[in-house]
Amino acid sequence: MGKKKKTDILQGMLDLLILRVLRHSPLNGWDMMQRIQLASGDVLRVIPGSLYPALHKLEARGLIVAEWGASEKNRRAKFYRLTPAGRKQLEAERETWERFSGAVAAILRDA
Amino acid sequence: MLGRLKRRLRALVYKGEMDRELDEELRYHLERQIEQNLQGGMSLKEARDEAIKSFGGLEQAKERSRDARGVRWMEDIWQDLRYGVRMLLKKPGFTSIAVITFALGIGVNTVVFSGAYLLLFQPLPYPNSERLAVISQTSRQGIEFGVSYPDFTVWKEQNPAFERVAATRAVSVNLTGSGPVKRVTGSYVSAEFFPLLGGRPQIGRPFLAEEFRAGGEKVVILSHGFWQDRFEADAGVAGRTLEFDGQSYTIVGVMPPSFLYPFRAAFWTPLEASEQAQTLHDATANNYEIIGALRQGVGVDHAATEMASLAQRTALRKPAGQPELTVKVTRLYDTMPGLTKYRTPILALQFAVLFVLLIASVNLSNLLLARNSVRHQEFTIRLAMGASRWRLVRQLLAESLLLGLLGSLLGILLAVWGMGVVRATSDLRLPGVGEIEINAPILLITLLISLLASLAFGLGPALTAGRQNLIECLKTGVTVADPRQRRLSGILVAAEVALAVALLTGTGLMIRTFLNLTREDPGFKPERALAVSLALPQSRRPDYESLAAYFDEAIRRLRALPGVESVGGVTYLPLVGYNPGVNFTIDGRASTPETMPRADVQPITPDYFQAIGIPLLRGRQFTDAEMNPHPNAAIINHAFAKKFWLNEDPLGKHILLQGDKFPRAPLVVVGVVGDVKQFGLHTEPRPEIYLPMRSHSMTLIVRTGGDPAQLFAALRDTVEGLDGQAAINMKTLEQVVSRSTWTPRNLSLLLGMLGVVALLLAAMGIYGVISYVVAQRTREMGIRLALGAQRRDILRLILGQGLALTLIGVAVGLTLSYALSRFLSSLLYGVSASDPATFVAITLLLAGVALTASYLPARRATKVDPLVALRYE
Repeated sequence: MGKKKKTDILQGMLDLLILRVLRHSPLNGWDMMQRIQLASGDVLRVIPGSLYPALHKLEARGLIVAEWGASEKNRRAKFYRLTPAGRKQLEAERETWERFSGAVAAILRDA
Repeated sequence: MLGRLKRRLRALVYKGEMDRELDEELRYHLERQIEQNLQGGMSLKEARDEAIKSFGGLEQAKERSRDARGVRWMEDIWQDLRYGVRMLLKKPGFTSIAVITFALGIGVNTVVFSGAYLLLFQPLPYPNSERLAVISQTSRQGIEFGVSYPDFTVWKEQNPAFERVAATRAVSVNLTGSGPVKRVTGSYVSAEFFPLLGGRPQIGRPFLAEEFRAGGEKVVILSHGFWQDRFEADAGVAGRTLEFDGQSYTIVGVMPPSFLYPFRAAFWTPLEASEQAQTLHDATANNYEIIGALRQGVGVDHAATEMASLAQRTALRKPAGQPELTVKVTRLYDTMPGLTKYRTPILALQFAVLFVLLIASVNLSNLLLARNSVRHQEFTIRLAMGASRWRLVRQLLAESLLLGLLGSLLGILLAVWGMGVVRATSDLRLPGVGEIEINAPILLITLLISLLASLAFGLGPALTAGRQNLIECLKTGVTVADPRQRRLSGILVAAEVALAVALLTGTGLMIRTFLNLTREDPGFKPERALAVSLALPQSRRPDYESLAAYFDEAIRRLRALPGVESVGGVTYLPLVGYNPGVNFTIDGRASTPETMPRADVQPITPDYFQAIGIPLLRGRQFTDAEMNPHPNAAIINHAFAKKFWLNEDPLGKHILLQGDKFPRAPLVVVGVVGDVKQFGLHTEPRPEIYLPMRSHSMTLIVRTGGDPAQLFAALRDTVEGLDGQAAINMKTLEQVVSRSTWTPRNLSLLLGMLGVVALLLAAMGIYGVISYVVAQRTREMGIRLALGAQRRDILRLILGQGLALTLIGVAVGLTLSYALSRFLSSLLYGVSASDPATFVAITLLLAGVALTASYLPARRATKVDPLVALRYE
């Protein structure tokens, strides 16, 4: 994985979560925030101030693309969806994360 | 990859639109949050506040989102540049001084570098010029010979060392026909010549195969320069004819300006068609220079060995009595004295201008330092507001780069203008080399150098900017001196002075060399005399009698002109640096071919010594009766007598000259004359043998009672009246002498100008720094004065500072000079590279300059009103 600071790991986690929730359908930022909160059983609350920069970074990397569309209330909002590259990245990051968390868990168990 | 690029481009171009979208996106989020809050029961105001608070940094989020686009750095740089331009425009005085200073430095560098570039990197404009080499032969005594045509034909075939070889022979002919008779130099070449050097005519066609045989059509290809001079660049020149030595040649082509081999060749013509038939079959006529392209991987030494064995294997039968010759292979570049001769002076100049550029950069650095200290409030505010130090440094560097860019553009313009001026003063043109011009590679390198210099002079001030104590500065608003900046200033000025000293020492040594050379006695009297060189084509005066008649008549007619005191003829003009030399034996002294002595030989007419002003030391001069194609008498010079008959009387001794061109019978020495410096003012006189005979090309020395330049027209008319086919070249003897000091004279001039510029810049630098120091220490001065210090104590204090800085610089500079002196020593004459007198003189000069430059600021320091200074806030 290389040298990563604490914030990088958290950042990477956020990227992974974003990619994950976009797996099935396009979402806008607000919806993403709700979805993550819900799916994690309210454990993970994403701060919008971190979410949007993360979204734009992923967009710059070409892993997601954005489109203006209509929300349920027919308001204009920006929706994001995965690109093929994004999908590949999702799989790769997911594997990495599982290995990482497995390793940490193993160490914590042993101690 | 491509997608990324596209997105970045979009981010740059549609910046405004993307910012608006971002705003809208975040606003949507906030609205949803507010809604949720309202539903949860908060009031409108509470809902809004909570939404913003829980967002977690709205503005920062926007900023980071913008950063995510990946073009932030470009926008920043653009912003820095715009800010920089605004700052520079605000202070036009500072900006113009800075730009002009830098422009001067870049300008002189561009000019000198284009000359250096031509000499060092582009001297040979042929493909594979590194693989080109010359095959020649040397005798045991080290005399160089060419190669004979029969040998060439044998060596052409299946040469193990060379891919291809060509034969050439330089010829001088008289160009007759339209226009005045002119002597031109050109080259007889073999068929391989143009393919070897990769030359194709710009106009017309190359030679055809059938033109390369004996009896073939006489055709000629002209050089670009010759075509421009003689035919005024007439594009329809192909098909016209020229007359060389009375023979008619048809012009078939013109070479492009870059084709210059051999240097100054005005034309090329197939050698088989123009040579005498017997020369082509004579294995002893070693007339030809062979150039060839070495095979891949074959070095010069390897080639020499291969050629030696080839020569042995295929040795043609030669008549007895021929000197034994070994084959020699030399790189083409190494055979061109025109290039190597000017190498050191050009490099010296290049160093000098680099020094000037460094000095200019140092001045600029100091200027920037001074300016930054005034802007410190601006910096501290920015730093306090959260700008990173790196951001500040980057922005200041952008300003320096802008200054550098403006300066270099102006500098290049100055260079182009300067080159035009230099070309007009023709003495400064490098003879024998192509035109010096500013082209793309030079511009590129100039810009690169200016970029480096801009970074160099900007870095110091940028790094030390705003390092003062923030609180202190903001509180008092005073321009507080930063010790680091002051120290940097001081170091920079000392460095400036050091460079100026190094440059000026070199200049001083060069000037002394030049003066020493001009004081040297050439051995003759150059004043009020002219050299008229006459050359006749062999065909015009084929035998000695008609040659003699011609020159005698010429001398007689010239002698008859009003104002002429005496006329004498010589073959190899002194100081011009050429004499073929001859081997000889002294009667009564045995010598083997290896140890045979050698001397310069000079065919002359009887009145020569009188005309040119060489004193007769012993014996007598030649008489008219003794003039003979096979003379019996010889006159030697003092150097000869000293070398071979030190304690004996040379008169009456006999010497026997070796070689076909010279008389077979022994010559008796009838006189001894003074020495001349045949090969240059900086050389020692060599042994010379004067013979009373005429040669095809002689220079008549005409001594007059009055101004020699007045006689030009009359002389020309007289000579042309005698034979219209003779090529004439006239100059005064004083011009001959001054030509021989061309290099030191011009180098002194150029270095002198650069030295003056360097001195001015250093003076400006010292003035600037001392003014700055005085301004910083105004308060301190006031206190001192209030406490009873005398005005002159203050003066001494400040002047002392200036002097101290300068002396440190001088010490470093003299050390630098000493280290570099080795490099210059080949150019010097009569003065050692570490000449103490020069060093001392330069030290005193700089000290004087330092005192002068520090005087004004020092005086200002003494004028400080103590009360004002103390109150100064």
